[in-house]
Amino acid sequence: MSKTNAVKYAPRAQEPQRTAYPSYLVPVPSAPAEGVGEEALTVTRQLEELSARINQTETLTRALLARLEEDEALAPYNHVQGRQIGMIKVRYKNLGRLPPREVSYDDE
Amino acid sequence: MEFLPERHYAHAPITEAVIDFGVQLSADPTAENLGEIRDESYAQRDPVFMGHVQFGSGTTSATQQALGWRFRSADGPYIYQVRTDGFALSRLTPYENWDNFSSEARRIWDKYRAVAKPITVQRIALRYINRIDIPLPLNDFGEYLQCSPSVSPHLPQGLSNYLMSLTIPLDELVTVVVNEAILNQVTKPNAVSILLDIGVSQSLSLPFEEEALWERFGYLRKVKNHVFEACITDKTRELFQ
Repeated sequence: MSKTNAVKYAPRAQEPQRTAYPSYLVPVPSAPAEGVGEEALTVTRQLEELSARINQTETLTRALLARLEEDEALAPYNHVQGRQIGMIKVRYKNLGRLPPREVSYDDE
Repeated sequence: MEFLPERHYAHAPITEAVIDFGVQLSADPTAENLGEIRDESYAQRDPVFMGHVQFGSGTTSATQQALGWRFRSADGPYIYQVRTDGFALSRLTPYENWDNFSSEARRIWDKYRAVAKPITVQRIALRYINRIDIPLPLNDFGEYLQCSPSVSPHLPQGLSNYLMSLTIPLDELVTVVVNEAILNQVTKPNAVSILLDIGVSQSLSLPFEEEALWERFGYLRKVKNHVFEACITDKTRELFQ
């Protein structure tokens, strides 16, 4: 077996800039669907469908985030962070005790 | 498959362990009814919801569905969930040992069974979430992790972030899911935290006897331990001594 290169940890110097949303649907790696917190994955599925259809990004993202933050129905997701659609992230913490799990379309 | 030797660590990196049952209930017990599954050691009760967000052209809507309840022990480290689709017990850090954890799960599971009366158990699973703090500088992920990303030699060999999800069918019944990622949180100075999240699950197609079910959990635990040992190196083991 050939030896692979050593891959090191290289902390980034600055926050990455936003990238334009591509015109095709970026595949989403399936997130683990068992255990605590699985309820939030439903949100992800809806976001997947959304990303395929929307190109007017910022306005809807802001509306979505405002709605998420206002809606008591989503109270379990006590931390919601959004970015440009195509790079939307829904981050949630249940009881603040789990490592935050993050699902996204397209990382920075 | 030959399992790697099990080891006991003085400072195991487990941040949460979960014993999980997926069940089918009859139509009778509602999420509200499941709130009756109380235990005096678990004082704090919170509802568990499923949230749906619907997107349209320019409009959004959100709905919720009650799934059950989550109870937290007074001293904190145990949490159980009673849901219309299952039962789970979580043990938060500091993790003690399997005997204590599984005994507590069995004790609360018996209460769940008595009230919810599941028709079938469709799935059982264990999930162990580990946070491994690796001292910096980290010049080779491979020194600490046997499952780590490789990067084309034509690219720089430094990573600021990664997320790897491996789904490994172990045999016809058991599936292993390994999620590994850099946790971008500063939890310890001069260290980088790696998430090593190991899930081992089995789907059940036939009715299971209670004893056989727990024997099976014992087997899933052996698989989980094997996966953990298979993912780390001796250098990582030294961190847990």
